[in-house]
Amino acid sequence: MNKNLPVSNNNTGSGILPEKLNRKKFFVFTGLAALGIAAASVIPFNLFRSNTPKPAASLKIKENPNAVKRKSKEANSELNNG
Amino acid sequence: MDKKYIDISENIIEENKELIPAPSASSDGSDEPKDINYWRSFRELYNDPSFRKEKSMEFHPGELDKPDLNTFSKFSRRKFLALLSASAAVAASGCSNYRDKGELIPYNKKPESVTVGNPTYYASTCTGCSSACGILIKTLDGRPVKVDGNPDHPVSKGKICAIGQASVMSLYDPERLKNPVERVNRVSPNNMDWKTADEKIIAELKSAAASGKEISVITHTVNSPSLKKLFDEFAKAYPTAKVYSYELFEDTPRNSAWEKCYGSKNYPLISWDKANIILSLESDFLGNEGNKVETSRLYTSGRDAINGKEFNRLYSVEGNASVTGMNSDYRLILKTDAIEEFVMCLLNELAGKEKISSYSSDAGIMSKLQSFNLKSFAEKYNLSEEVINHLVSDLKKNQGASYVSAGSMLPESTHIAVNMLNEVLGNSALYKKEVSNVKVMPLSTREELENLVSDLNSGKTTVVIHYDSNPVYHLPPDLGYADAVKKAKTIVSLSESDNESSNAGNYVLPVNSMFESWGDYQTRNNFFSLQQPVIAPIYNNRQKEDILMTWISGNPDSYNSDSYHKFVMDNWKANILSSAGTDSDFNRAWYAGLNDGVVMVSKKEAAAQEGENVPAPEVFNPASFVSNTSSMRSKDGFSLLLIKSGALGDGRHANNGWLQELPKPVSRIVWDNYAAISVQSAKALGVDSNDNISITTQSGKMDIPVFVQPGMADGVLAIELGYGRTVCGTVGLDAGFNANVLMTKNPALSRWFYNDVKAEKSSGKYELVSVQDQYPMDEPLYKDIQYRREIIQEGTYLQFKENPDFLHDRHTKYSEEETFKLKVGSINEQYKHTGTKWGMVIDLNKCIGCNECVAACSVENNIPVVGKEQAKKHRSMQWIRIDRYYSGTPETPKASFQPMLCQHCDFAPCENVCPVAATTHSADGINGMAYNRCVGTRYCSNNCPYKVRRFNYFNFRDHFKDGIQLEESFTLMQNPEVTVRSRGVMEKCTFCLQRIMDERQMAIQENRQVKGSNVKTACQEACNTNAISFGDQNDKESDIFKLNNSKLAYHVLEEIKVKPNVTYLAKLRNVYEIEKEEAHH
Repeated sequence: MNKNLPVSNNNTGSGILPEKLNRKKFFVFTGLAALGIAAASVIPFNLFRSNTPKPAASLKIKENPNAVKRKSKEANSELNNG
Repeated sequence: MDKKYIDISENIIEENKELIPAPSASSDGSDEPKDINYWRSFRELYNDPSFRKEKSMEFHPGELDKPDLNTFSKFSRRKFLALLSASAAVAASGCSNYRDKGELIPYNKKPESVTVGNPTYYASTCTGCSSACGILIKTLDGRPVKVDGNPDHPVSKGKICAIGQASVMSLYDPERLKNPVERVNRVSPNNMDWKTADEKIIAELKSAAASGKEISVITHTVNSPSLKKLFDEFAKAYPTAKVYSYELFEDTPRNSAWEKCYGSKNYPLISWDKANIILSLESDFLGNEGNKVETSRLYTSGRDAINGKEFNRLYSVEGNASVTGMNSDYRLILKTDAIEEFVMCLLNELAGKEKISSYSSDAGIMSKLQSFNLKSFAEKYNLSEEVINHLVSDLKKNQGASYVSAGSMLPESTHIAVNMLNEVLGNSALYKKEVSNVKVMPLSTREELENLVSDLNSGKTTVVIHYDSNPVYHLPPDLGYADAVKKAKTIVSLSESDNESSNAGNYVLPVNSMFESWGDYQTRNNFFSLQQPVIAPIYNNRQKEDILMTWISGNPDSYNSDSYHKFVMDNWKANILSSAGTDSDFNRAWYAGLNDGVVMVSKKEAAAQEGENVPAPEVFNPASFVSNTSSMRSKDGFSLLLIKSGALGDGRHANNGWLQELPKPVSRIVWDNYAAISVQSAKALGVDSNDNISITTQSGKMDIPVFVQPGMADGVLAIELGYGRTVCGTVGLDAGFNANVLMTKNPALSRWFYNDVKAEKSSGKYELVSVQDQYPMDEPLYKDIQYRREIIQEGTYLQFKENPDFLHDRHTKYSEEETFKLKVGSINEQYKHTGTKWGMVIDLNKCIGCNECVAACSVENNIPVVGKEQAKKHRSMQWIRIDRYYSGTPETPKASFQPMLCQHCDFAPCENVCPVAATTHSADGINGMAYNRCVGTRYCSNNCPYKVRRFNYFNFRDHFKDGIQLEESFTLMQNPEVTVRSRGVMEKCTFCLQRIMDERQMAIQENRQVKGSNVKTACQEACNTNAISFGDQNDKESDIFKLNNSKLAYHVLEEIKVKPNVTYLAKLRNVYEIEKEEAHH
């Protein structure tokens, strides 16, 4: 191996990670996150939304009972020749 | 800088110096770069020494510097991942499943006649205009989703126009009025309940009647016998009540001319299908005049090359570039105010010189004609003498089998002259004798409307009821109605949505749409049509007739939602079906009528019905022509034509997004109207498309953008009405310009035609959006591209008769080698479609470019409205488009229309390039699209040679007009059989796969093979002229097989060998000259 060849030492990570996250801190963060999730599911964030008008009441579709259904889509031959 | 690396590289240079050429070495030893034609920077060009040094080094100075670790973030990878997962957990807990719309529960007790998922059809009548065409309403799960023509209706015969097709959108319009409203001080609207509204209005009506003040009811055409009877009862209850009816577009000049000539008030119906020669004088009967649904069908029945019928020939003489003109065989461009003179010249030529008629011996007629000369007229107006000669010769040869049609906008004097011409030609043979139009109630005359305004001003009229009408918008401004009506004490508007008239009133009452109403209609003397509600009122609205009945009774508590239904039944029992003896006979006939939508009337009953509607006596009164004073003189100024919009009608459909986005057939402009002007006139005014001009008539003035329309006559402006609504829903508001301001109550010629108009360039521009790429006609790259690429293949009828193989013979002029190459199959192995193979044939002889198919497809396939801005970016989502190609010069163009949709190619270039196989080919020839696989690369669209694929750049339902299409009522409009696509997904025509699946299901149930003729695509069903055929190409008995193998069949871009399954039948123009072959290549 040629000692004169350039060697990259950029990936050693030295100086980039001065400290690891320790176990205590990890559990603190996780616990806070869990509390946050629980709070988000309880706190009514809707109250803080801007006042949008209420949507119209749900439309109810009802067929007209007196309407007469057509027996078929096709032409009635008597009429069509009229 | 770490010197070690630099030193090493320098060492390398030093060790191998002899191998590295001098940076600036060149063959002649100079310092100049080797090739001075290609350079990337000035440093390279001028041979900068520092540049040469940099070129010699592998790494740029500084490139190998070690990064400064102090500048790096201290946020570690581990921390980042920990926080990311916590955030995701919070976000997930906050999100609800937006797809969860609740529970779907099937019927607990299913009605016997309902099968969930199977549509139900109801026959009814369309009231989108006064034609009252018969329709079939398709409902799914109790809600209307599609409207098509009623095949039993003798006028529409299974077809309906674009307005009828798109009417479901008006039913579900979320901006419909939902509750009765009282406008306090006519400004601030307050909701009120119906009982209070009825009480107040009844009190006002009683007060007005008691004090002798007029109660004016203003409505559109009354063509319902039951409604007329109801108005009579209203007048009995309130003796000072008077009904006025009006239309923005009507046939007063034509009808009054007919009355003068023949003594009858009704212009007869014409047998267009029996006319060999048709001369259209500014008459757009294929576009927006008369009953276009019937007329276009009858006209194109004479354009059937395949079944061996003789073609008719259409001559068009017009100043506007109309759909009819663009479909004509011969077109003469003539300023509109010269048309009457042209008719007189023609009369002189035929009656005076050729003496083809007995009227030639009438001294009075001849003396009137003697000053007119056709030849000098043609020279004066630069008309083709050859075409004129053909016209005269054809009219002479086809006496009794031709028809001259004068446009509705022409004045009475022109209509009288045309009646004379038809009489001279013996064309009364084409006037239908046994079937005639019926006017249940005539429209109000101009004098009556003027009296109304004067009574409003003087206080004689204190109560005005706008009965589903909008006279403030429609009536000419100088009539003064808009100001006069404000003086009325009480204004009640019965309307589906807010409009200019309801905005001026005290009470605005929401009424039912045509899908929610009972009714009966009579437009012809041989049948009645019935209207039935298919859905209960969606909002707190009522049928307007029921409201009227409540007021007649004088008791607000008497309202009954079924009262008008009973009223119509009683009227029919007493009058129309009076021949049915017993109640059970009547019920049987009544329900049969509701089932069919139409009740035919026997000749005897028709004769009994006729009161005022006596068929025209056959005797023409020549004195009417002799005494006719021509009011039309050609003037030097501009002629202005005010035209009915084919999509918006008189403007009442302005809030319908599908109709606003429907391109105008000739200009292909969407969302706006404009002043169409000729090329030369535009140059004379110094304007170009999108420039504003100012137009002044005796009545008003307006600014409007101009559109340079090829084929217009010089000195003519044409503007569509129905735009520029100021009180409208979100969609239609501010779309276009209100040209009603240019109308006058006392026109010299007619309400829609003015020839003393001043036009000048105004300031500013307004961008019009055309969805057809407007290639400049003088651009050599694109000129006649439709012929050079054989996208449109045309010939003449004469050519086809002499040599039916002319279309394919054209290709034999290729060399033997080229022919061999064309015949060689593809290197790909061809899949053998042995079973059903779906295909479509489009007959270009019948396609008139009306865009009804586009509207029908939009409704059937849940096409979203994208809006003007997106349409400008070519993002319209319509799956089918009608391409309009021009050829010839901009002054005298010919137009060719071609529907273009997905060709469902067997070797589809889109299928090969999809990275996720979202588009594949089925065994029955359909190019399918799996929306949930599509990831939106758009490679398929890029590869499609026909450019028929549409990409959802946005969720347009959300994007357009603040998500109005996401309103609850619009979701009810969606066809549940078709997927609603979202953002990022490609879509295109599917050959109405949902209808094919229905047929497959029926075939399985009935244990038979799939029958191609049982499937009708939405576009095929809607096409008024039956230009589109669809079916199984492998079924040798089918019509489509015969059409596919006919002599006129060709594929678009056949040479690229994608094997499309859409075949076109070449267009034949019925001209005397055989088209030169060079013109097509």
